[in-house]
Amino acid sequence: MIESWATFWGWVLGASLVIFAVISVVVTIGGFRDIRTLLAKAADNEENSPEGNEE
Amino acid sequence: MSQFATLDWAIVILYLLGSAAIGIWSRRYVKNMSDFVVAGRSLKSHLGIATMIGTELGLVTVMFAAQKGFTGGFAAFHIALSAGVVCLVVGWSGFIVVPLRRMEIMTIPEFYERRFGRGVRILGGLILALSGILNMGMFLKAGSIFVVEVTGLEENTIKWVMTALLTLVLFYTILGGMFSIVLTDYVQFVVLSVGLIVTTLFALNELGWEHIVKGVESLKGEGGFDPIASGEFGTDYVIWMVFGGLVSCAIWQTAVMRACSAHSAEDVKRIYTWSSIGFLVRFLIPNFIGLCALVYFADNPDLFSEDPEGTGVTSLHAMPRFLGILLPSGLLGLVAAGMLAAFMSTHDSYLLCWSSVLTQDVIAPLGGDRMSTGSRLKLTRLLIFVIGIFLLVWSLWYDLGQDLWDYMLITGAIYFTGAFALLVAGLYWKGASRVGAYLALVVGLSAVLGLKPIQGAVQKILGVELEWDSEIIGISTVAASSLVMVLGSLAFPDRRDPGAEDEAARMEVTT
Repeated sequence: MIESWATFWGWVLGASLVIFAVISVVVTIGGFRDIRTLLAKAADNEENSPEGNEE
Repeated sequence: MSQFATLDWAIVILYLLGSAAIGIWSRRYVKNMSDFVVAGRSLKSHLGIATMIGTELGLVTVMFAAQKGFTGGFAAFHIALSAGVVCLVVGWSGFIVVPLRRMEIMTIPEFYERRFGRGVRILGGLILALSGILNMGMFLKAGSIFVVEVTGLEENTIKWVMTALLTLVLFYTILGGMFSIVLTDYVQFVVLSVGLIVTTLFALNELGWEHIVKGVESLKGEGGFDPIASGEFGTDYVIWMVFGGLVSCAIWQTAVMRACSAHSAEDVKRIYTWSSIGFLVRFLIPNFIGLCALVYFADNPDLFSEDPEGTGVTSLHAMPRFLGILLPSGLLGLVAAGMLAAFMSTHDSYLLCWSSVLTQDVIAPLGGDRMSTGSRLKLTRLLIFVIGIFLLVWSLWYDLGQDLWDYMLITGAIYFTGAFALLVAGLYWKGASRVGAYLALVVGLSAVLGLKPIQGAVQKILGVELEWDSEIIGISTVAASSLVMVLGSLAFPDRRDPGAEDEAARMEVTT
């Protein structure tokens, strides 16, 4: 019984590590692009917003 | 004993200064409350996933999850699995989070007011803040234990480290903070992801899988693998963890804020679906490092033992001490820096969150919302300072008496047991009424009985022997809150005026 559990948890750990590693790479690259878009959009808003519009 | 060296101190200082600089620089883009709280609702999927995991994967999470691995062995993995699976289901179904995003609310008490009225918002906000402040009550202690153990400082410096960390956080929050910074969350995500994966590989390489399995088997037997058979857990604990998984991703204020920051409802679903692996891993990897520490210290009992000669050393100390021994200088500094930055960010976000809730959802509405923006900001800053001092006193005084994770779940339960009933009934049941909401919130407060010192006090007053497990208290409180929500709503339905009818109709369309 212990052996089955150990195998199961081993697969859960291994699979999670691999998926997490892949997601980390994808999200790191995609997130960097998203940040550039976010800041560009925020900078546009900053330029276009009328003065005194801040809360 | 620890391999922490000058190089590691340099990495930590540079990293923290860099994070603070990024945070202060990014404030220039904050123009209004929406930018401030939910980043202008403009987070795309990748960044949303990074910030969701960055926020939820903090130093305290790593500490309490590692403690569970240390005390429970492989069986503790069920906590991770529950969190991951429940988050995946929320992502697929959009349960709770999609209707909240569609309503465009920023805080849970704001939902309370729109659905149940202002009084419910004030009471709910008060309970949320109380629960949240108690919930972060052990953050300082956990952070200090981490610093002391990883760096190899003397055990008696822990109070000074707590004070220094708090001063740093308050300075950072009051001077430059006021914004849960997406950019620093992103950097933390990158550093912590790499750090945790590399640490796991180091631990595996050092101990070997077979040796770890044999070690847990000899120390814990079958209960170290099977959560149901485990003396540490059991069926009711597993059920409580499934509910805890739902709370962590769909009901806890900080996670809900991420959902509300998403660009669209579809993005909410995508973020939750992909973040499920983050919710799984944020427990799983520290669980594993904790159980590696268990096996390592069983092999080397001279390096760690709980409470030798009343020193106060607990299972919470094991993982950081293990890291200090395991990781080489340089990598140790990077991991420590990432953890400390995560600690600062979590502390900063939570301090801001609870002080804002008290200002915006409790004090300002009590005064008829006549408070100016300037006064609100001053009050929020004052509350940040007051909460900070409370946290220091609480960390020094409070005797934990249970695992950190169980403390955090039960303090959170003071809020989320009632919130669960209000959110589910409020979003999915037309008949949910104001009286039912009040009753559910008040009954939710009884979750405080899950805290060991409170049980001790009740025991003294009543003069009877009480030994209630926190999971039993938690599950019972959820059931009782939900029941009184239903009964209260049926017995005292809301009288609807034409305006309320419009609002109800509008909410039905949006949900």
